[in-house]
Amino acid sequence: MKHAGWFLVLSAGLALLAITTTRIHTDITDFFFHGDDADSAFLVNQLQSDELARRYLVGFSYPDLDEEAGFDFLTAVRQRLEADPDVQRVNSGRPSEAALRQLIQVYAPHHVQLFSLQPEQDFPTLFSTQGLDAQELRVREALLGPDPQLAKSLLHEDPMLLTLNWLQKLGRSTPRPLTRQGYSVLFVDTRIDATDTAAQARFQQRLQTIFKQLDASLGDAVHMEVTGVPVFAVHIKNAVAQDIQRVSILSAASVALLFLLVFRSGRALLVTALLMLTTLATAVLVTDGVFGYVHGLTLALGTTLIGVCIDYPIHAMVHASEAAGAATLQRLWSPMILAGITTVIGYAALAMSGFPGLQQIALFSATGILTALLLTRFALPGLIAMFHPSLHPRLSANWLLAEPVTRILRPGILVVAAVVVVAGDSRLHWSSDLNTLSPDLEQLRQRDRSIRTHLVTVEPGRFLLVSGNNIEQALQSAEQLIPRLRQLHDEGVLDAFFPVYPLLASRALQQRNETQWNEILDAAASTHWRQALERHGLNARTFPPLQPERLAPLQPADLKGTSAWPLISSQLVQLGEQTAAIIWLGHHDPGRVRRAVAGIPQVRYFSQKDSITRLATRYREHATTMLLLGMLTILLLLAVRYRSLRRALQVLAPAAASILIVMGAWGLVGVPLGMLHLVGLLLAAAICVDYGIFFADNRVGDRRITFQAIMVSALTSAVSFGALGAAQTPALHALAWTVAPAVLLGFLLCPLMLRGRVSC
Amino acid sequence: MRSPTRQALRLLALLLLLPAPVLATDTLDDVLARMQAGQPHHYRYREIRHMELLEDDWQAQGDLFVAERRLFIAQSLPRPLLISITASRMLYLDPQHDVRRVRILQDNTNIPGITPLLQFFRTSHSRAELEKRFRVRFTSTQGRWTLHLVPDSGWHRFVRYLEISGNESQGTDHIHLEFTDNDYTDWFLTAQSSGAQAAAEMEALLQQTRSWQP
Repeated sequence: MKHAGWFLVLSAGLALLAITTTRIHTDITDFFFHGDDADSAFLVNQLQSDELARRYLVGFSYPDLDEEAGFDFLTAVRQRLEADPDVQRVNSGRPSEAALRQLIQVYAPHHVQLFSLQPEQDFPTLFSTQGLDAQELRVREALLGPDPQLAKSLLHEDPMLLTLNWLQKLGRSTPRPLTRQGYSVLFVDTRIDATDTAAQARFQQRLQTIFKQLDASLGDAVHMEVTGVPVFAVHIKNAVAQDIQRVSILSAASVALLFLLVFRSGRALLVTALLMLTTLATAVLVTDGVFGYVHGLTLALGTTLIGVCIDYPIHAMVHASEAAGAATLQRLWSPMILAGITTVIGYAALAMSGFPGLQQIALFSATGILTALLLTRFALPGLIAMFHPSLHPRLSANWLLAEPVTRILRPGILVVAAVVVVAGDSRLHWSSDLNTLSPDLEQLRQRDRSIRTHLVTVEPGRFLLVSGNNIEQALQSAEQLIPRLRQLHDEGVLDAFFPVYPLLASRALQQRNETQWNEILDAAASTHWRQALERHGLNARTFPPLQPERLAPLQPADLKGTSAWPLISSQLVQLGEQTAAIIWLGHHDPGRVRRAVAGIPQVRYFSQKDSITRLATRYREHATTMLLLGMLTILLLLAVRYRSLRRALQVLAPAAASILIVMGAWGLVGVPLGMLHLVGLLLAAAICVDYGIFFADNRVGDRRITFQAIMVSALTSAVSFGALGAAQTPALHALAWTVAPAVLLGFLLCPLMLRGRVSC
Repeated sequence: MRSPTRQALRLLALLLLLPAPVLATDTLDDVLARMQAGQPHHYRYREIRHMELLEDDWQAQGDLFVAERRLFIAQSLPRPLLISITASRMLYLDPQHDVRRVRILQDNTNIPGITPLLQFFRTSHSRAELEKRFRVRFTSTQGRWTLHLVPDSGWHRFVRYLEISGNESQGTDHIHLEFTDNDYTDWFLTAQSSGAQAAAEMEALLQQTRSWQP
């Protein structure tokens, strides 16, 4: 009694601690991926790219407003957003005049070094009569253009105004908005931490408020669409949070209702609830302590852990009621320990799959199971003594144990099961498409596509990765690839591509440009140039002479802190020991681009979706192997326990059959199985193996009591897992429709497959 | 890098200065008060640019439209060009070379090369605002009025002064912009039409422009 009192205090303390200190993450990539090698690390980095994770694309449609009103509206939105402390910058996708000027200032001294990808051809062409005429026409147009002062300011170090050629190349090589009447896009970069979805949600709310206030003054003439990684992240977070709440409430309420129906005792419910609360709080705290956070999906799944952990107190309470009272608990300890260990082995196997989400679920579940076991053994007797719950189940399925019933049912059910297994399992197929596991994002994706149609921009998730031992090698390889990409562009295969050049060139290319310039720059070339100036009505005497170039090559470090750095920094990445240059691709035919670059050393067509699928397949295959090894370990453990491999197989039989039947059913309905189905099958196996052990051990010598206890356990498990079916997240549906039917089958198959076959 | 800002300079300057006839007895305040664009105006223009880097003066001519929210120029010589400037963007069309260029104006008073005139436009209705940015001198002699504007130091380092002038009781017919490197540009303007007729003529050209938009 005294111990029970302390337990109540401890339970409340743990629950409070768990609620107040646990950090919950909802980023789906946290759950699914882990950068355990260079490729997946790169993938994770891409998925969690800080810049992307902080950027919003905001589209404004105002077909009924004239340009002036539309511009005023956008200006007001920009000003309000720029005043927000969480906003780093707002831009329209085109460099501002100030940024452009800064770019010119940075790059003008390097106009020769960055002149061409093929300096050996292009410098002689430039100094041909036609080339000089074309260039001097450009000089003349610049002087007679809208900004003659810019041209004049460049002339002293760049008399041919090659900087303007560079600027033109840059214009073709950067993503930009298309010009559409009545539609504008703003890029909004926030300062909010990528993982802080709560702050992102608050910012999105503020954005909506700003928009609504300004739009109201125009009579709701503007339509706003918002997309970007943070929008998806907040949506997923909300969906997961709603799932946690919905599943928790439904699961807890269903189990409570079932408990009241079965035991008709509020005290029994109170005792079990106390044990489960302590179990969950412990599992949450341990998981948080080890991982530093608890994922929302783990928490959602954790509530279903009640369905597993509740088996032990139920089993104990039913036996305590029907047999020799609370003293029976000590006799049940041995099979419960065995059941607990087999379950933990299953989860340990899952943890070794390498799938980060499963590692967390495994730890969470294993902690929960061990805690539930210990509480059943050491805390439950005291609680029973304190609360005196009525433990007599009012429901019974003991008619299934009657020999005539099993004799009739057994062949029929086993034949049907065999048919389902044979027919269904042969049609079973696995899928590694993780999109099917996320909450429904189709509406968001459509909006994303809608906004991106207004941009000449990169196709998200697909790009070329050009790697090298260092930046120089990567840049050189990327430069060699550009002519091939131009060809694809000309063939209509590739709408646009965005290489690192002309923002940066390899040192070798810069050197080649400089060498060619210096070699071609003799007295004859200077004379031809002056003659070209005169042909175009330019006063050759006032132009500074052409000079040889002797400049240190432009390096990435030179660009840090300039307006070029944001453009270039996302295109140079570290990939393990290697450095890679990314070439972003516009809309393209993936197959043809992939084929076009196949066989080029150092170049790889990278598709995030393909990589994710490959990674998921690898995880699943690894998980399957680990699970089979786990099941083998469980079999060996049972064989040691029963000192008979045959008996061990018999105990495992209901669990194995129920899993095969459920897999067969999935195969028959044509649903592809994924990672979460695998988790569900493991959970079902863990629970059903417990039933087999309890049923086979039958420590109190009365199989009716044991079967009754298993029935109550099976019903609570089915109800709590069935509650996952109410979630929005398809991943949780997979669990619901795998575990719930499997545990019911496992319970029903025990008397059919074990009765009279296992001696105790 | 060629873009329409030079012509925009012309347009914007005219927007400020052309539309309202000025009475001989007008003071600077009267002139400024009447410089705000009202109904559309259509002008024929001739531009002469003197640059040290050019062997000879460069000349262009064409039609200029000034409306409340748009400046529109149809250059006919030395080659046809269409330029439209609104608050949000500057559109440059060179049909001969199939060039269509759009420049989004984040700050439409800060376009390189024409900033002084744009700033003048933005502040021209207020003598106090004008005097914050320019040293202002207004004279009226021998049947002509002249507004002489010197940008404050640091405000625009390339421009030495602007001079806007016209006949007594008339609008602007000449703008002179002199740069610190001694280059200068002159615009000569002749009024063609105004009101509905000018609007219709501008609309016809705008329609032509819209069909060329990317």
